[in-house]
Amino acid sequence: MRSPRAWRRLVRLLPQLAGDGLAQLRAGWRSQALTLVGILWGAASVVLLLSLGSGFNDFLDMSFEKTGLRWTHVDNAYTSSERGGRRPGRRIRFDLDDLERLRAGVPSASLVAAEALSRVSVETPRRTRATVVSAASAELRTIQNHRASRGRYFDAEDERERRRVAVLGPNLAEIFFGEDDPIGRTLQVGGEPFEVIGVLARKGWHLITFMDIFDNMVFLPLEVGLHALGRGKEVGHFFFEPRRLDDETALRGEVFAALAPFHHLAEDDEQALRLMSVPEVAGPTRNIFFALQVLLGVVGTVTLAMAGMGVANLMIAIANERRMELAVRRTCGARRADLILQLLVETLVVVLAGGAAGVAVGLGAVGALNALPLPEEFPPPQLLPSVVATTFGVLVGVGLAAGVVPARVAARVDPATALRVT
Amino acid sequence: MAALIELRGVSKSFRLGAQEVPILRGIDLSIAEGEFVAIAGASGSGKTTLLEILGAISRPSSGCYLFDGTPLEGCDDDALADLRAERIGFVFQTFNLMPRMSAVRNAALPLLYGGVARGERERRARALLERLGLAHRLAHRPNQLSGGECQRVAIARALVNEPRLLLADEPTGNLDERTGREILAIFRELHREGRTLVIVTHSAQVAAAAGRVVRIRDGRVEADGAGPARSSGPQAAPAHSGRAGA
Repeated sequence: MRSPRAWRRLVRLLPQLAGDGLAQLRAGWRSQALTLVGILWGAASVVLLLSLGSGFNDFLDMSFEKTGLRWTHVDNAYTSSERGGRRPGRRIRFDLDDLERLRAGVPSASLVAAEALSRVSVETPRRTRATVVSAASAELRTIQNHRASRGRYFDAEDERERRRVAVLGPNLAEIFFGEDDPIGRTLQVGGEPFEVIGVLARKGWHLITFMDIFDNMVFLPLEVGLHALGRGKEVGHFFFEPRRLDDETALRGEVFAALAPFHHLAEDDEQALRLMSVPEVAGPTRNIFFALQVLLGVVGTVTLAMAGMGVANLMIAIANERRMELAVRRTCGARRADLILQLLVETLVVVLAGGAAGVAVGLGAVGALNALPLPEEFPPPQLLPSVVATTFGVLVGVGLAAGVVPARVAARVDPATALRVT
Repeated sequence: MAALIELRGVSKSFRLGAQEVPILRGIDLSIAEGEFVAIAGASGSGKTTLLEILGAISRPSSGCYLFDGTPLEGCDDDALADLRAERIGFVFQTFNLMPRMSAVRNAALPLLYGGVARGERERRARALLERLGLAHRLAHRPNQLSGGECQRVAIARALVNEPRLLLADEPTGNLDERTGREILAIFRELHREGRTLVIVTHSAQVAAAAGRVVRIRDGRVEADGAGPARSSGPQAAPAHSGRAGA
């Protein structure tokens, strides 16, 4: 336990030692330039790599946010076992009756939606284009976080009233209507007219489809849409918004129980329904991204640690060169601990000076990457205050580690050296 | 007069491979407060080693060293460092100034380790440098100063903590004759003020300035008595309490 006098002594000593360290750096920066460049490179790498990792993570969050974070998706597949004389390998086809069965039989879901996707020709008086058209329940807007940037998304009333309305992806709105306002305009889907009531907010590239498909689609209410697509009552898949994320098994069981009797599925033929949930996909993906972030952080830190070894070598050489100075300090009353502190502070000054320059270079590189027109699927590095704080934390750690050996060299200096004429 | 320094049967030896090399052999020496003592002897006689022990930067291999009545053998390394910071000043032949520090900061160095606040450190160092005729050189670095000016900065550094004991190792050895005389005049003045000075020297002129000369030969006190010329200071009479060792 230090006495108040010892603390006062330390507080008075530290600024002077830091000043001496800076003076040392100013006087010798030319000979220390290579070491400083090493630290600069290391610190810049840490900032850039951590920012890239953070950008990846942010990109992941945004990607799942764009398409909804909680839903479970059920797609039709083929039976894998025999049931009631029906051979395995039979294709399951969903229809509107299944939607009602699921709404009634899956209490674990707060929302259920059906969707059918078809690639068809969409026409306006000026242009014709083949594109993906979605006929879906209005609930899908909530489940998949669809927001309208102009106008509105269709709702349950539009569905009930069987209104022929359409919402366009933003790219498609631009292709069909250019600078003009598309709201209130008409387009033909499968030869049937639909009034544009909204344009979807841009979602861009996302991890669910690995493309920017939503921005290029037409969204129609379920039943009128199915008619226009020539699908009759047949839908492609269902979406569920679970009430609780931790009871995925119950939801799966309810979905299977609701559909199995009507599609003649064997009790153990769960493969006939392909279920996929976003949390299930997001978990491992997040783990991969987290591992990537840790890897990038480790690569940056190792780079910095290697530069730290250069600093340690430099400081050992400096401590040996300055044996006379250190001995004189001892004759003037410096304790061994004071010399250890001095070398640690001087090492920290070197590391932090090079590191501060490196952080500046790293910030510049992050800024430059953000200013570049990067492809949408390349997550731009994201600079967070925590990245800068972590980098300085690592720098202090490297500085202290690099200062240990030189400090021990300094502490071994015999004060009698000051009396030896060299 | 009470002894500021008392050595009782102090020996010092160094290990050279398997061999033990004796440097000092049973030194008995007593120096009273206010004495001006020159330690003379041929090269290799052990006078610098004796100075190291007197300055508490080296420990005797055997024997006892009392500083102001307190035995130092029980003191740990930090306690000896504190003793040097507060009660002992050193002047070296080659000045040993910090090359990147101004004259003021060089002179203030022992106060830093004494835990004195920066403003007070600089005030005291400045006052001493002005007294030693360096008022116009306060912000200069050692490479901007002459040899005599460097040694005056070193003397200011040795005095800044108002030490009980001032030790000097060949303080005029690196100076021309005229500058050496100037530095010697400073030591005489310090002696007149009542400081205790111990100077290791080869110079007959320096030895002559001291009130007492201790001659070392082969690690033993060969002679201990009044110098060829006496100082006119208050402690001019030899406090002849030392005697030849065994």
